[in-house]
Amino acid sequence: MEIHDVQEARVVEIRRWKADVRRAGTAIVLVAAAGLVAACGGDGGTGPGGSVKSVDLNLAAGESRVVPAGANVLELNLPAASSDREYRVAVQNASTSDGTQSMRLVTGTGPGASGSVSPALSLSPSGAAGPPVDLDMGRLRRDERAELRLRANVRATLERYRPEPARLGVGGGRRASAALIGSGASAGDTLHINFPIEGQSLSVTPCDTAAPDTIAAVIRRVSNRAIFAEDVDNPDQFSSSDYDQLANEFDNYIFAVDSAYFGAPADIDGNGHVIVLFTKRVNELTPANSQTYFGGFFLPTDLARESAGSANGSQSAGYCEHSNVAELVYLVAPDPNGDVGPQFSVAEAKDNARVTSSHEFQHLLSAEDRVIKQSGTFDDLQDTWLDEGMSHIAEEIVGLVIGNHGTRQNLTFSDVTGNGTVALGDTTTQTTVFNVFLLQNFARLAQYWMAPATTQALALKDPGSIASLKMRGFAYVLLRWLGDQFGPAGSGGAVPGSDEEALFRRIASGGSGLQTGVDDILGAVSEVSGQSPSWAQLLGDFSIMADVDDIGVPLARSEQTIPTWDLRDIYSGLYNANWSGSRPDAFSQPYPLAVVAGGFTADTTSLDIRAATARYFELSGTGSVPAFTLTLTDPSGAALTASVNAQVTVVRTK
Amino acid sequence: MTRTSKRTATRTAAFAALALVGTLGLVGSAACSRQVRVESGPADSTPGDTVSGTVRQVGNSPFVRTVVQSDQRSVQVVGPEEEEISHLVGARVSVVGEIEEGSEEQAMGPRLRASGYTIVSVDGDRPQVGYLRQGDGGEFFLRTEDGDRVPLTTVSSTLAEKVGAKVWVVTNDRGAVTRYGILREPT
Repeated sequence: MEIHDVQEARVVEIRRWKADVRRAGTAIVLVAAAGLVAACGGDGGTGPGGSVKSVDLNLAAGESRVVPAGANVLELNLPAASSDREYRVAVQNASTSDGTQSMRLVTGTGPGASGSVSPALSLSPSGAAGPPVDLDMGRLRRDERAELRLRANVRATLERYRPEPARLGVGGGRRASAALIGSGASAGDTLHINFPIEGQSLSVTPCDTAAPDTIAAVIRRVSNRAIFAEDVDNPDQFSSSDYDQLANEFDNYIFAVDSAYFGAPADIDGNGHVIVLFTKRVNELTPANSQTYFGGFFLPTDLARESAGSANGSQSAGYCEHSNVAELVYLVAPDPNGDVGPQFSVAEAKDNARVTSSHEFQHLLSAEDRVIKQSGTFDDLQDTWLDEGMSHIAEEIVGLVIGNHGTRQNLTFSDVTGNGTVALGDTTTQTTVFNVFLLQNFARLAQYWMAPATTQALALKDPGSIASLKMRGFAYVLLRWLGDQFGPAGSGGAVPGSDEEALFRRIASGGSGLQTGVDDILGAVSEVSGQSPSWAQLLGDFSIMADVDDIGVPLARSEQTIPTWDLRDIYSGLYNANWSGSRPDAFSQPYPLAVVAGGFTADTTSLDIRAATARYFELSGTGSVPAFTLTLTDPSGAALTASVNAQVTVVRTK
Repeated sequence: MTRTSKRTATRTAAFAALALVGTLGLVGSAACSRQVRVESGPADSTPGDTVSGTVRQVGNSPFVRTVVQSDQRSVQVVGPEEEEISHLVGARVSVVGEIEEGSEEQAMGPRLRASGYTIVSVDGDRPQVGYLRQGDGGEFFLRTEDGDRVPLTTVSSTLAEKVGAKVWVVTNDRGAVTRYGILREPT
């Protein structure tokens, strides 16, 4: 429902803008004209709204310019031409502080203005679709709901207290000690794992309190890299052949790829394995009658030492009594009849395990690098938005490797779907891998692009909201673009195509300064690539990439492309695919990016743009087009303030 | 000195500073309230600790923590005020409250049960905080918690849909809202 609402808002936005075009009156032209008179071709003029920065953009086709506004009224002057012209424009808020910047964009020409309005590019198919491919709508639907699952009642307060912890299992143990999960663990052994989460609120017991509950779990398989354990109270089990597949994927793909991209585990429990726990406690986090579900998690407190006096490697962070002192991820258990939560067939639970373990393992590795390997504290953990984006990269990379793909291959829809074989060497098809590992990233990215400027890109509060989907879409595509642009070239280490894992390892660890968030990105880019762009400079290219990559125009700046994916072809394929029901809302357009299209005519529009995001415009005209000016002001027509970091990227595409 | 030992030393110093602030607060709350203007929550908050720094959201979902980080220390914010403070990622704030006893030694570090906060700046701008209102004539204004009425001459259509919300705004000298954030949605 909310996804549908977003799309409606987007359509309204475009219609409103077109209506504004029709309503735009003399006053608007006068404002623009006043700006033109005030100063042309340089900085420092003074107009009615303050100082004016006027920049002439004489661009050849494919060329671009990123223009910071500073503390000015910003005027961008496009020259008259005697032939067709088309420009793509991204107006950005390059702040790193969450919040919305209100601005006004005035477009206008001098006397004799003319031009035509082109169709909105975002509403046109971006390329010929390949043959329809059957995609699993049920799978998508369910995961979309999974992202919507937590909503308002889910808050990790880490502060609730239960004085009477229940004790389960044998031997009186309330935690999975290293001895119990030691290197000698074997199938059939029982683990006793602290479970400090209370009910569906997801509140975590304070660290000065023992876990209120303990899970007894039987080890079902010990592979080279993982210990797969099942809660003895689970309503159903995986088969031995299921574990064959899960063990093979984890050892050879998930562990291998995640470790290469995000650093090797610290092995705090000394067993050389990651514990993958399937427990009904995860299922129980979702109400029984809910259409949503909670797929799994990594609990950072499992990395803490368990008492003030205990040691845990060189860790200097504080203690947590209910820590399991183990590399451990919690995943949903099979529950075909919905006995403890939403129905989960064995196949669904297994698919969830494949992608969710890839995701959660990244969280674990980044946290371990910072807290254990670098002796940081739990305040040195990554910023949430970036941590989630990194885990979505983990999903993607594992999917690419299993699908026998690589980075920087400009992959199309037909490349990653169909009945072709994959690296697993079994009956798994490309479409299956796409459904399990890749599809969700494109759905989340579509949510972001359908209303980019409203995206809370650098923060997450309500994990189950549409805002969460959008934030994840932003973080994923930003990181994919960073990997493509600033990861080292090469034939590929963990993944064919490039040696980009060096960049991601650096982001995951935070470097020697344990950096986080935007600082971490800038530090990693500088360290790994030797370049030192500012955040605003990164956004200048990244933002416009969404609109100009793979549009068939040779671009002067390769930084405005995303070489791993042909996203226009991917979304066109998703738009034209055969869905096992109605097409998901996220793929209701051949290309989801919201672009306001217009001609070289006078207009004005109000812009509300959240930090790190952009609004997109297309200006196009046929035949002779007039000299044209885009004027960016604050909402009252005055100069912008420098603290906002407003900027505009313009690419001439025709 | 290794980086680790530096961090430990810094943290110890930070706790000492916190303890000092807390002690001063116990001795005389008036001094504390003069130092920090509480724009949210009870203006006459109980004596306690004050933490100033930048708001961050830390860690993986769903175990996200809101922390206030300064050069010297990082403190998790908990309690009813946490919801609003979590909407201020990147902003500089000053938070008043009580450090929960014993939390300093725990894995997630000290927890400040916040009773009020002030937004110091957003990218250098000092915002005004209050509830977005609309008058009978359609004009917008901000009603601060002190009861002041701040006229807002220009409000974007998106913000205009949030009448009743608790917001922070930055205005230009014409009273136009150039920048804003939603602290609490309209009820």
